[in-house]
Amino acid sequence: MNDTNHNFVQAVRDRVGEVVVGQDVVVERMMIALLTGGHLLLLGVPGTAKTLLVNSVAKAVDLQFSRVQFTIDMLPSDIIGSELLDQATGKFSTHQGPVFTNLLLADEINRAAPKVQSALLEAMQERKVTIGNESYQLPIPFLVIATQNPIEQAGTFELPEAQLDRFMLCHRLNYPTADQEEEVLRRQLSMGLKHMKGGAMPKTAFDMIGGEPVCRVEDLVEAMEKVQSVHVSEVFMKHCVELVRLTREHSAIELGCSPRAGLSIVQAARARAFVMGRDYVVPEDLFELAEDVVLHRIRLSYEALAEGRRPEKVLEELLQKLG
Amino acid sequence: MITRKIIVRLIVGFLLTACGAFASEPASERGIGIEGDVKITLNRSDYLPKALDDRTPLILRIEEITPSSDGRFVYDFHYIGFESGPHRLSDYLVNPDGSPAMEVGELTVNVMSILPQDHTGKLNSYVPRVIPWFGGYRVMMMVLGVLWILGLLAFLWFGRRKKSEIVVTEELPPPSYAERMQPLVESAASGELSASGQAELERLMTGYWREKLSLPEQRMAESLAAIKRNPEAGALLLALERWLHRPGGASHQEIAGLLEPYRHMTVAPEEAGS
Repeated sequence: MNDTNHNFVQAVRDRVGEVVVGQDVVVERMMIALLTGGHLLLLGVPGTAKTLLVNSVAKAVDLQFSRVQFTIDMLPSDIIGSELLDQATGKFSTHQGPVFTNLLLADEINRAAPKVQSALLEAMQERKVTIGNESYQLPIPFLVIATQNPIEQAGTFELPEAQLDRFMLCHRLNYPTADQEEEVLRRQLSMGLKHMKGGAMPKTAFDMIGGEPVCRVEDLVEAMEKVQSVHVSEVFMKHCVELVRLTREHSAIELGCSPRAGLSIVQAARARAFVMGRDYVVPEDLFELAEDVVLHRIRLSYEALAEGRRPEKVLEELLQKLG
Repeated sequence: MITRKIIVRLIVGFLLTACGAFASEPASERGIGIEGDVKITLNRSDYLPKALDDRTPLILRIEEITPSSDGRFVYDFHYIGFESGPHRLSDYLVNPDGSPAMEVGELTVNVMSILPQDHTGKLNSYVPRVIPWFGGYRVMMMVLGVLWILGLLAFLWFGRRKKSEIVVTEELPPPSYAERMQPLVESAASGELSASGQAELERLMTGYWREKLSLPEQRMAESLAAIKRNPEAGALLLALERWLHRPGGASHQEIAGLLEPYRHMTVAPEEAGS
């Protein structure tokens, strides 16, 4: 593997590490999403630096970045844009919405009504949107990183399985370790005040995101090309197909994985191999990524849920059949 | 009031005796119960029921009045008797102007009681009877108990497995990882193993080392990392990865060297059946 490209990954990681403490796995998953153009769903309780992470990565790679806070009263036009009447000319002009960007952070996506979710997920799938009678291609690369709070469910609209399938990865964030939390506090203590227009307020981690990007979009595109050249063996593909088929045959699983899951595993494994400095994928990539690729695509049967079985445990049973 | 309620529980006899000039029906005795209906033919159709108070010994209602073929009228009476004895029909009907319907004559209603004449209307107190030893409940329960025990003994006796039918079937243990790997290793050594076989071999080898190293219950990714940290297992697994996943694979000598430890693998007694 070319050192230059590996340095790209390390440079982004280092830059994010300046702002965010820990969460190495999440950064790795975001790199995988960036390198494959797959969309990422982050599940985590509030305060686990989801938004900060996405901001940091976007700034580190010099990508156009938009953030949309989803609410229940949003309309699809708030995401994709709309046609506006110019009163001076009497003609309609197109106002492009926040979806026209490289990296879109859809914060708390499950708070929006299903029609707004659908509008976004259509853009995610087709990478183009239609405003009025015109279709518009979205910028390339285009990546959606959505967040969801798994605890608070009041006033939310759960994403259906078909829409969850559009997300290549769904990563569950954990709380930082005790050491990492201490480091967060130490950093906060040393941040000081932000002065502006004669006033001042304490700085936050968002104020620490700054400086020049560590790489350009061209570097990202070059890395993406390298990812596409990562070797995937016949044996690895058989492992992937076997895992997907096992999800459809397990007695505790009512809805198994779609073929898109197999595609996502292979693509994500390629990117992970690149991130790890390999030019070929190995079963370790499959085992590491299985939870993020498979768990949001399966649904346990009513009987299994009534018996108190957890999807994570069922998936581990399947993985143990693979090794 | 109590007397009335008791009488309501009687089987009431309702007897109509035709003895008036206007009544054409002969007197007849009917056992009609607490409530009932009866048809009487009268000469006029404008008789009305008399308004009654709550002490009345008989309630009489006119259900329907229909003309008959001989120019007279058939009255459908519905009655409820509260006191036994004869009741004159004329006491319960009036003319349209409210005057008593005396022209009905001496038609009477006899309400018969089945209670003895000296009954005071009080309920009898309950006097428990001694259950006899022979006959009755105790004997029935004893008979049922004996039948149940006999049935149970018969069930156990006829349901027992005869010694000659008991066949000791020793369940064969499932093949161990080593046993399942042997044919695949031999095929691989001879260069005839397909991609599916290679995938199966890799799964079995991972499972074999997971079991041999007695790894605790943990995520597969963590198990794999633990296997790779083991000097012996790690080297073999990394070599396997290079052979199966690296572009270009491995030479025949490298494959033979990799498979050599597995070709001479012995299956430990405790390992069999895993």
